[in-house]
Parts: sequence; structure tokens; C-alpha cells
Amino acid sequence: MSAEAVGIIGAGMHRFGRHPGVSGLQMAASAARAALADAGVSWAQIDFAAGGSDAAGNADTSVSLLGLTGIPFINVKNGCATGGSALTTAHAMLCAGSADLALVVGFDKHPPGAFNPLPEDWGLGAWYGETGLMLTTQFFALKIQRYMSEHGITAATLARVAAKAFRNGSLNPNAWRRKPLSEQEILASKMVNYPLTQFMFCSPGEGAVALVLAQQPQPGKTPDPNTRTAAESAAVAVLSCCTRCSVCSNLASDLSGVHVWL
Amino acid sequence: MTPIAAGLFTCGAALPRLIGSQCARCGVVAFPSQPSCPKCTSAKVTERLLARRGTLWSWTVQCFPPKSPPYAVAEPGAFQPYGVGYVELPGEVRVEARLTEADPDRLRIGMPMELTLIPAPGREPGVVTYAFRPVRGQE
Repeated sequence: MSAEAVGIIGAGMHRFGRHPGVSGLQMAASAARAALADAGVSWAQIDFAAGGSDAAGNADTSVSLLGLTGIPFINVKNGCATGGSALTTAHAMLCAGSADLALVVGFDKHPPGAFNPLPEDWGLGAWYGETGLMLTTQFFALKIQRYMSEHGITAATLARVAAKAFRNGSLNPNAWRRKPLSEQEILASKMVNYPLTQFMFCSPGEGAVALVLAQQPQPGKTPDPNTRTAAESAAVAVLSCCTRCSVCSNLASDLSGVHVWL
Repeated sequence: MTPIAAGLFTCGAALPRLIGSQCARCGVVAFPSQPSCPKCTSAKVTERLLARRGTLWSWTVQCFPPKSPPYAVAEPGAFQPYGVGYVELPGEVRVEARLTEADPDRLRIGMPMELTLIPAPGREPGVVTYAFRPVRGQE
């Protein structure tokens, strides 16, 4: 099966935000049902699934909510690239002819505040975390600081980028951040890691996205480059709560090889 | 003084040095030291004590208390912001480190830095970790 004959035929999303009392797996099942409905197929027809979260459990246990159909379901845990890696896995399975119809789901339910990964899980000594170096916000700040120096960029530019993202979020009912913020509000928000303030970061949140992939275009549906943007946006949201960071941007370019038949 | 971890830096009567490794085949230097080369994959590496001075390649200030664990200090109320940087040791490697300076107005990319030891956060007196400080007179 060539990659030309594999594509996305449905997308579904559980809105991002804070959802007390709703588990990550419940959001995953909700997104999966929406994607199945969008694709016009049933869960029983799906013969392969892949998915994952960072902090909200194993994707395959969503079968207890969706139905025990016996399908192979691969759990992915790959940091910010979890959703993208699940999509790549399903795409490869379809290209290999090992499945006809696949579901991909990415979801999460992060507690508020910065991540606190353990250095031992990342091949580093405990000293690295004990001395206060194990922070993703630090890493982003160190990277942007150098980038700003090399390219003559100011904090005002960072604020403009963030304001654009908040403005986009205000137009999307599924977005995590739905209130537009001015550049001044962004610059004046709490300093997190110099020069990055609170609203220059995409803060950890909650939500879920699912996609349905098929080997062949469904009857009446043909690959259309003009409809690709919507599904790419959904696919990007599989792994994160916004489209501001480089990981998501990289995923968007990775998706250039995946057809969309919506 | 006791190092926070074995094999990270020398800690005795002489001035401290970071303990890195260097590939015998392609020359690439790594810190912390590792048993194989991250670039060419050769397993022929030797220990190398790194230069004590370098320049600040990038920096930030940690403005909120990191969660504990993994941070050793569990009382957020006692938190003081601290500097973090990548220090480029010429011809060797860029090292991520705590900085002794946390004032954004006194940090700039390219400034000369030198290795020092500071009390390890949240540990008993005498336990130290490595850090870089601005070279006096050249700020």
C-alpha cells in the first residue's frame, strides 16, 4: 500500500480547558466518538488504534468506554510528540497493509503549573533536578534568549506572537485559551523565566483529539489540498494545547505526507 | 566539601574543574563525562578536565520555585530567583549550569565566566554543586 492511498477521513475533538470531574480517558473517548461520526464509520469497523497521553493514563484502556472489539491498540508515550508519534504509527500500519481503518487519539489532563519530570527517567543524575536545572520553561528561555541575540528580536516581538495566538484561540470554541490578551498584558504578566512571561508560554491543560485514518478514500471523498488545513490543525492539537511551540510546528510539516479526505 | 554527585567535578585543595570526556577518535568533548562518544559513537573516550573559564552563550533567570521533587528545596516560601546559563568553554563544549548572578541587568551573552562551587540547594552544609560566576573586573 503506497502512502498515496492512506489518509485522514475524520477528526474529532474534546475542547481544551479545565474539566473537573472529567477524566482524560473520558475526554479521549469523547474525541474518538466525534472522529468516528465525522468519518461515518463505527468503532467496530476500526481494526487498529494508537494513542497516548503524558499524564492521563493509557490510551488503550479507553476500549472499556468505546467497546471491547478486540482490536490491537498501541500505547504511545513520547512527550510533546505523543499525538504525532501515534499518527505516524497508524499511518505506517495502513501503508504496510496491516490495517484498513485506524483510530489515533491524543489526550491529556495536566495539573496546573510547570512539569516536574524526574531526571532519572531522562538518563540524567538526580543532582540535575535537585539543583533546579530540570525545567522545560528554562530550556525554552535559554533557547529564545540566544535566538533573540542572534536575530535582533525584542520582547515586544514575543508579545506580538503570543497575542496572535490568543487572538486565534478566541475564535476557536475548542481552544484552551479563549480570551484575547493585549501585547501589554502579555509583557506585564508574571515573569516565569527571563525573558519569557506567563502568557508567552502555553500552560499545561486538558483536552483530547482523535483522527480516523483509512487506506482508501471513502466513496465521494477525494484528496483535496484545500481541506487539509482543518485536519492538520486537529492533528496538531493531538499533542498540545496551542500551536505556538516548535514541536507542533514540526508536526505540521511532518504531516505534509499525510493525505486528508474530509 | 562534598560534591553533590561523584564524577561531576574535582573538589579539593586546588581550584575546581569540571570532569568531562573526550573522544579518542573524533575529539568531541562531552559533559558530564560519558563512556561513548555522542557524535561518532566510538567507545574510546578518555577523561578530560575542562577549562575553568568560558563565555556566557545564553542565560535566563528562574523566577518561580521548581516543584519538589525533583528540586531539593521543598519550601517554596524560601525561594530566591537564580540564574541559569549555557557557558561555552572554548574549543570544548557548552555546559548548562547555575549562575551566581540572578540580576538580568548584570548578565549578557558573551560575558566571561569562570567555574565556582556553591552550596547544593536543600542539602546539608558542606555539600556543593558547580556554578559559573562573572569574571571579576571584566563585567
